[in-house]
Amino acid sequence: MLFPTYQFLVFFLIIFSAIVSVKPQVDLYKIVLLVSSLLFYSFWSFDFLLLLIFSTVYNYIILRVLCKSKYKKFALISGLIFNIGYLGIFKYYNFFVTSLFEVLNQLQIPADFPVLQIIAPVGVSFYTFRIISHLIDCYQQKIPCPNFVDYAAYITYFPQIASGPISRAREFYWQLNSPEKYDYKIEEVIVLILSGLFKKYTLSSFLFNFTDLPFKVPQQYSSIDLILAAISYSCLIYVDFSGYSDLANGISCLLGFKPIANFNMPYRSLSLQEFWKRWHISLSEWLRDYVYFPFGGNKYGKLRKYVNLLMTMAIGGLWHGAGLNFIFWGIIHGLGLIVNHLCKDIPQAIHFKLDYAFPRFAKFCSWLLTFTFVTCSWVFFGTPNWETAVSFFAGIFHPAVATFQFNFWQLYLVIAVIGAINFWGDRISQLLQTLLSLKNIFFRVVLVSLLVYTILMLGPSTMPPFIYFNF
Amino acid sequence: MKDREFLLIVTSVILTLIFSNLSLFLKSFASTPFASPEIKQAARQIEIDGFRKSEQAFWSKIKDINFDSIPKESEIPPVKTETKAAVEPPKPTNAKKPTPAKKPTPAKPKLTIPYRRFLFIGDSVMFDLGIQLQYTLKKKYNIAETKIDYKVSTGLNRIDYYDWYARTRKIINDYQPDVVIVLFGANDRQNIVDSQGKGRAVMSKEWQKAYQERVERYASLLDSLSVRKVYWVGQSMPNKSSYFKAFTVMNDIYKTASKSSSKIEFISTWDTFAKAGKFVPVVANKSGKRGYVKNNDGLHFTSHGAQIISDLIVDKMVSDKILKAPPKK
Repeated sequence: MLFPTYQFLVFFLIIFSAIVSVKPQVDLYKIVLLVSSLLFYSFWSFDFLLLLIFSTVYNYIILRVLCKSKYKKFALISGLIFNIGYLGIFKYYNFFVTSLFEVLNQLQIPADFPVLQIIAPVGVSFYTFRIISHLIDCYQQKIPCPNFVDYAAYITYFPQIASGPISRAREFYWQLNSPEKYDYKIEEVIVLILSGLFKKYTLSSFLFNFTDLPFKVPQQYSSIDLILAAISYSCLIYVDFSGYSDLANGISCLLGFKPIANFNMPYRSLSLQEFWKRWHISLSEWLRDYVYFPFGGNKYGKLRKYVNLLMTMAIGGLWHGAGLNFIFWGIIHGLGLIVNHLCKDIPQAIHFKLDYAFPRFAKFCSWLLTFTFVTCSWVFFGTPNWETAVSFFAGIFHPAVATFQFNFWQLYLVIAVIGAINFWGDRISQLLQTLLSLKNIFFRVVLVSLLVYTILMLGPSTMPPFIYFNF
Repeated sequence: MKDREFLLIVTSVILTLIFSNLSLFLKSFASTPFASPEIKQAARQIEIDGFRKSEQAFWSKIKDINFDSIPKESEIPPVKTETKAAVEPPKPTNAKKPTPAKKPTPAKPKLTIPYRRFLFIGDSVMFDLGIQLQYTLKKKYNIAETKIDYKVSTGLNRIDYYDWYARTRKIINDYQPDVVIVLFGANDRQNIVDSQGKGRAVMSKEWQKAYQERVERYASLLDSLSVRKVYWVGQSMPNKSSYFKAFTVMNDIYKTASKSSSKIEFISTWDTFAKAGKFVPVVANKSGKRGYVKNNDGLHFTSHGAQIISDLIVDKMVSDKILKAPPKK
């Protein structure tokens, strides 16, 4: 069940009405929230729901052993193995098997591994990451062992289960058990939901048509088309994912949880380091705390720091998908971050005089370099395999087709709108909130109806899937 | 208090939206799992007017835009001559009847119009195959005028969702392909609405009859259009037991429809990935390289699998003298 559908709207209205009536009664509130989450997830597939319940129950048993017995390390390791294995079977098994087959085939060693006909459960990467971080937090005694209902409510929490943001257990439990729920502003929620709808329903669905085919058959497009397709994909992945995060945050607010900042105008970044502080923030922080720091972070010298950075980004790439293109995407971001750190670590060696002479021009150059790097890296992310990515870049320099096909004012307008959201999104949001904060409820209804109607009318008749549902 | 105010706003907004576009609401709601088959069937009849029509036109324009890259007739280099034509191009309807030759003349080389444009029509399975065909035609035969016209989740069953008859007529008229390669079926294993408007359960006798009518109608359409040769590619053995029977039935239907047409030829791929009647996941290609042939879903080709099927089709086109390898430099 996708968020921007009438089906979800009806579901949510029923759930919200129930939650509103039980909000002050914490125990009942938790039960209603848990049942709602399970019901929401069952709409995807009953089999997926059974898997989620199995994973939650099994991990809770491990968590109890970890918290209550003396075999803490054993429980942690077995928990990590189980969860990495669980993720591995559903997401990576076929990739590893086919990759191993390729290697053996090259060596002319006969091999024939079975390929599993499995589809990864929706949000498996997101809920497995939450389970893993919970295990580690309990092992490090950062959080006490929760009761089962709290734990199950956290793992299955429906606004975040399919595509994040990846919330942390400590903050979640605190809000879940507090009788005082997050005191949202109506205008704040409306802006989050409208922003999510506009990004996902209107902008993302529009851009999908300009990226779908060029990323699959780049040889059918001209050089300028491919450049526009690459920029469109940068815009698409941003509006698609941040739109989902906005919707998830808006719904979370209504259920009594504080919104989690997941995107903060990432394409205005002046460096790759800044980009990762603004892009998919909950994942970046998760990787930092549960991968980069355990590897040693920056504690063991600069060389080790760079190696750790590269490994963390490669793992981050693999988390996004089972494919060499995702690993490569992670690695080039890791290398980019290393270069970024090198420039900061040895400023005297490559000091850039331009900063002083032409500060604005230098800023523009930094922005352009960062945006170009990120956009080029998305090509590896968005194309189905390495060969297509290579022919995409080859097509930019040596196009097989000369005709400019994507010369539409609508496309330029959408890119400009997304540019504006990236540079002045906070101000636009504030302005809308001020407009909607008027006390007159009639005015609010008219304005919101008008905005929703416009979004729906500008949207397509069919909607492409959320990109991040695949992860 | 705040929650109730929000509920009031949301309810008012929903009511406003429902009344302002009731048809959209009904259509969206009828697509939910709760809706009964009767409601779903009724929802298919609902037309959504206004912006969506212009939006559809806009996307069709983008999808069709590849035509601009095709050289105009005047830009096409002069026709080559060959001693024997593979298949004669269709004669224009207003062409004069040829006058009988007064006396037999020595055999002169016949004027042949080569097969230049190739169109691949179908669902997402065709897309995987089409990419491989495009690559092979370009690399081995120097044919660049190829186009994949695919639409995911479509077929000849749910023409209410995507009308392949209208789309095929339009694209063949616009693109003027010489050869069309068709592949359907992966999304057709579902209930069908027959010509009397009655829903028929999948794989029932009535379903088979209704589907056969659809396929024959499509074959007649292809026959009536300007295309010179059509290859209807059958389904290869799936790595999914639930599709086994359906694909066998569908292949028989495609084969029968192809036989009754002058232009269409059925290419069977059923045994390509099979051994002793069972699916084989790893198959060697022409050069002996082994690889997995189907993706996790058991239906879509891997690039290796697509290459094997593509080679099969290309070989058939070579034996039919539709393709001729360009002279080596």
